[in-house]
Parts: sequence; C-alpha cells; structure tokens
Amino acid sequence: MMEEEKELLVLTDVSLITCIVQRGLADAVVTAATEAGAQGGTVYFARGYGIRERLGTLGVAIEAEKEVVLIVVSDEQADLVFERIYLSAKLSTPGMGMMFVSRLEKAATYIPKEVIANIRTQGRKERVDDR
Amino acid sequence: MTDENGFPRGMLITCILPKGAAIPLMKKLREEKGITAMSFHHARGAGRSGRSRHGLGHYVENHIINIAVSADQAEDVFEFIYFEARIGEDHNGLLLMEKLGMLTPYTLPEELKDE
Repeated sequence: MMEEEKELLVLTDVSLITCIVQRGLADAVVTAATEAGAQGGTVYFARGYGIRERLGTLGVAIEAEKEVVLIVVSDEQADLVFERIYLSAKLSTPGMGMMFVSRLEKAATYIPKEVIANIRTQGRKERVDDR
Repeated sequence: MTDENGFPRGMLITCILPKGAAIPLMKKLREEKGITAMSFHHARGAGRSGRSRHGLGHYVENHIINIAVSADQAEDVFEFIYFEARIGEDHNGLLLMEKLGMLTPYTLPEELKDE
C-alpha cells in the first residue's frame, strides 16, 4: 500500500483583522465581513477597560463586556473588509469599539482540492508565459 | 536570534481548532517540543463548518491556542501543529503565524516535576 505523501500547504499574503465591539454586536461584524468577501470569523468574549471610565456618567451606556472578532482575509481584501466592518459597527462613534489589522507571516487551513489544482495550473501557465 | 535589547525575536502562533482539540495538542507541544508559553480559550466560529453542518449564520464551538515561540523555533512548531492537528483537512481549523515586536523568555526550572 502506498503511503500518501505529507504536504504542508500554506497561505501567504494574508492579514488578520481583529475587531473589539460591545457584547452582542459581533454577529453584525461577522455578517458585514462575510458580505464583503471574508470566509468567516471567530468570536470570543472579553472584558474591556478604559473608555467607560473616561466618559464618566456617559460611560454607563457602554457595555464593559466585549466580543472580539478575528477575521482572516487576503491582503487584497483587507481594505474592503476593514471598511465595511468600520461602517457597519459604527466604529467612528466613541465607545463602540476598535479594530486593527496585523500582517500574517503565513496561515494554513483546509484548501479544497479543486482550488489547489487551479492554483497549480495557473502557476504552470504563468511560468510558460514568462518564457 | 535576539533583538537590540537582548530579548529573543519571536512569533505568535494562533491555532483555531474544533472544540476538544486544544488540550491534547498542548500536551503534545509540551512533551515533544518543550513549549510552555501557551494558553487557550474558548470561542465560536462562523465559517465552512457552521455553514455546512447547520446552514448559514450558525456558529460552532472552537478552542483558540496562542503560542509564543522564538523565531528560530517557529517553523518547526508550525509544521508540527499542522500535521498533529491535521489542519489541512476539512473542518479542522486554522493556523496562523505572525511576527512579534518583543518576546520575554519563558523557561521553567529543569527540576520542576510533572504533577
């Protein structure tokens, strides 16, 4: 029996968008990101500190419990997804949350076989065109 | 590899795994790779797994592990996790690696015994 060769497939030129919003608003962020082309998102709970204390009595309206959303996107998509989330989560309003993008060295996940085949065919074609 | 302050250059490896996969992986990382600077927390994920199993808009439970490693160890640990957690297979999660600005060395005393 032939043993299947182990192959490590990694994605490069990818970014991680981290968005911190008030509890209950993460679903809207994930929806906005998916509509803009992201494949999905991961959400976890956290507790925030800072803006509530600075806003004094107005800070009561801000939820201390936060949701953190992680979204992995290609570098090409990052600006669009970032903008859509910014608008849908109303991040220009003080206390609504914050968001940042970090460049990833690399990422790995399941890549469907047909996508891999497409990329390989494209790569071969480009090499032939370059000659 | 150290920075100008003498701290090791580091990488942060983040694994987003299906529920229940984090603790066995962390155990293997500690036993086989000697990694001690890691933590995990719970999360929920919307993506391929949620869509295919429950339809659009559904979440599945995830575990996220954050591992801080020195830059010279990073590739080896990344590869180890990829094969150990079978990241390349469907519904097995996501593995990310990013550069860290600074990293404090984290080592345990040699004589420390397992509980």
